[in-house]
Amino acid sequence: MGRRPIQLGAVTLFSTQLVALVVGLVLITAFFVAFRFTDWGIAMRAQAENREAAALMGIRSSRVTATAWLVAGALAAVAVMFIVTQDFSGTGLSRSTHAIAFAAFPAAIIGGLDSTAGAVVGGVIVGLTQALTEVYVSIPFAKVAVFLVMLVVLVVRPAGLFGTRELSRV
Amino acid sequence: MSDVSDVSTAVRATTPPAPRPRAGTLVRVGGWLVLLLVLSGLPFVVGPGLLSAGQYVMIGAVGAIGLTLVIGQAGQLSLAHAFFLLVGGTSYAVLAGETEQAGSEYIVGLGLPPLLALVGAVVISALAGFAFAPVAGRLTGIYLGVASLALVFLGFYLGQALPMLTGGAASGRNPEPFSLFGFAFSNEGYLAVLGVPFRAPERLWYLFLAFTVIAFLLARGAVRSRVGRAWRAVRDHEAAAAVMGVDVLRAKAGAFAVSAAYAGLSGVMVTLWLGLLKPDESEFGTYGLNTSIAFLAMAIIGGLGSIPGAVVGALIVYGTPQVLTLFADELGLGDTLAGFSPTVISLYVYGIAVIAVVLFEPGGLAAIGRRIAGLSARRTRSDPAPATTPRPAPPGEDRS
Repeated sequence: MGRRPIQLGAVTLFSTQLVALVVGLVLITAFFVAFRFTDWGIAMRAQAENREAAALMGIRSSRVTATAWLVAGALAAVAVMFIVTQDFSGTGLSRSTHAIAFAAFPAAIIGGLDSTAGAVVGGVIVGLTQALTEVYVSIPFAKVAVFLVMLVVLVVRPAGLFGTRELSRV
Repeated sequence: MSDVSDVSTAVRATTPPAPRPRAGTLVRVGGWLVLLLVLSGLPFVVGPGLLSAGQYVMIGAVGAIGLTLVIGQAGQLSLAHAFFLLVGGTSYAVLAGETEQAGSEYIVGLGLPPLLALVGAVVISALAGFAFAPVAGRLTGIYLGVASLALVFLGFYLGQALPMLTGGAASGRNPEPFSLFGFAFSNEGYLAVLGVPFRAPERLWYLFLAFTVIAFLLARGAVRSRVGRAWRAVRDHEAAAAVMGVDVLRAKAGAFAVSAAYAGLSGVMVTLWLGLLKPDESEFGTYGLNTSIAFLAMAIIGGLGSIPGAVVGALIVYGTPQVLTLFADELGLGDTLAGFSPTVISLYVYGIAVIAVVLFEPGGLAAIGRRIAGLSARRTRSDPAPATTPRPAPPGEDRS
């Protein structure tokens, strides 16, 4: 691999970016499959939908919560592995690297918090908004643009694009 | 007719014949008065360093009271507090400031009297909070929290993009010192009371103390009145509140506006305290997300919804770094800019405090205080009968 960029036709890619893309795709697919087909995934989705009902069906709430945090931490660690490489951040880790975590919030919110597919779509929307704004408007405005897009989405669909709307029974 | 008279006699029978002032109330009022007296006397005893630290705590207290109202009383998670701080500070600087500033490009300033500018800044902040109402009214919980987070990033951008208002991130702008009826709350003129020279720290101390007391009393009034009841009804169950005749959207918008007004006042206090309005250069500055989270920590440590709790929370969250910085040499902390600085230590302190509160006493310090008050009330009471019924929480602080 080395430090040399890879040419794919007109597109120039750093090898780390390619690795990141592949790792991302593999992880996303793996979790999609896991959420849909394993007992663990079904238990987690059940709890996301209705905690009490899930507990009544025999799902251990504490264990599901703990594993969810475990997976969240592990995935964040994978993301950080790529962030610290210079091709992405330019400087590696710094005191304000954790600001990047706030890019994850709009991604999850735009898609809807209880939807995995929504998180992927949200991530793509956030990434595209940020990249396109950086090029066509200005770099400082890019971060705001992401949040403005999120606000618009929330005003139109208060539970995100793919989130289930909460109904309250009176 | 006879039914009515029956009811009235029944009511009369149950009410105590002569409402004499309870000892507990007297003690509480006396306690507040003594506290106020001690705080007023402090400038005669302590140096300007500690006074300035105390002023910083009061900045936090005013902001935290506003946040505890919107989160604890109205049940709406707001992370936008830092943005409203910036709005308040900028509004004050623009309304009271001059159009010319040495070494800066064109800057807008209306040159209004500072008191008018202060009121204007609070009103503008409230309007900014009110403008967020369409979003706040539609969202709940974490969705609302992240949506309000958007305002912080918007403020970060606007602060840099509008140097004619904010003075720009590089230099900032100097706000007009506050003055009231010709008396300036700055080093201007010489004034000594009882042999103690009253300069900017001492004068600002009394100004901030007045702000804090007014903020505290207004919030308590709101919480104990119809407004506060509407907020709590919306917090506990929106549909039920609507059925009871509460205008849910109005209550939510009102809570956001009031909280933004408090943040705006807090923002004015920040600019007066620093003597400078300077938008952030990085995302973690005076008006950044870290500030929003610090205010959230104050509200949580004090107990969500409790106004005295918010003040104590401000004392912990904003007081710790100030006091640690003042006594850095005595405590052997060395260089304040070193890695393990007072700021970092205080981050750990309030981080641990928040975790401890969430784990052991979700009601925060307010719940602990209420429990102590309940214990002492039970001990002093002579008749044993009401021991089984717990002392009802004060109307403003009931958490179900």
